[in-house]
Amino acid sequence: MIEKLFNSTTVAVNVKAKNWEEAVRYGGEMFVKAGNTGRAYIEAMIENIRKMGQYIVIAPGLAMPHARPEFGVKKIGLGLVHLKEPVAFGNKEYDPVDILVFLCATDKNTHINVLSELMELIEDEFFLKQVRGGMEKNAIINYIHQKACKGENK
Amino acid sequence: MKILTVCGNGIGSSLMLAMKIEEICKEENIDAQVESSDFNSAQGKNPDLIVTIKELAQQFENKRVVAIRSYVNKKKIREDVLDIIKAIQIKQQR
Repeated sequence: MIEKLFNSTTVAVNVKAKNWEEAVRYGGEMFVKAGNTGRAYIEAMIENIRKMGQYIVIAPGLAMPHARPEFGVKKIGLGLVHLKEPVAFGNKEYDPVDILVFLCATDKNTHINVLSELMELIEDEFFLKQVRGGMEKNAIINYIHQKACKGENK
Repeated sequence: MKILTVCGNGIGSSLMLAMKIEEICKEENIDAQVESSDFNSAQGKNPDLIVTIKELAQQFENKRVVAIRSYVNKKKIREDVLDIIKAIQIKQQR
């Protein structure tokens, strides 16, 4: 299912951000543009990171900004941003971050399958290496699509 | 046994953690129901074990809580939770 959520509106590469907040705003704007959330969601993600930020950095160089459904989520969504220059989130172990995976969900139960597929993607070292090596936006979308289709045929 | 994973939002990190703990319990042949929750809802629940990050773990009172260093790194999660899960299992089997 995640191949339907990562699309040309919610995937971006070569993004310039001066700091983590700019990077998170960029992804938030993608959700607003794609119709996944309202603007409140952007502020909620930022507020979350201010409160307990370092935990959204879940793997080396990889952060997963998200917030609660009630902050204006209209439909489930995933986004991916690769930064031109990495930024620090204040996580001693996994900083600096250059890949951000954005998540929004309408409630806690409907997206379990999505999250489990997402976990496979963010643990795919080959994929992450390609993204870091400058993989193009369409190539990223195609890769996710093919990976998901293979998964379904298992 | 009932295990509750907790994060601030209850929609991302705690769910991922729940999946990892389920995998670990399966591998160890431990019968566990793993549920995820946000911090506020977790206060009203009574699981055998709560698993969460240090910052939230400190805020639970009168509950059995274990702190993890990562929500998704299975190796670290295993190191942090397996001993206590096994201990609870032994206690319950008595």
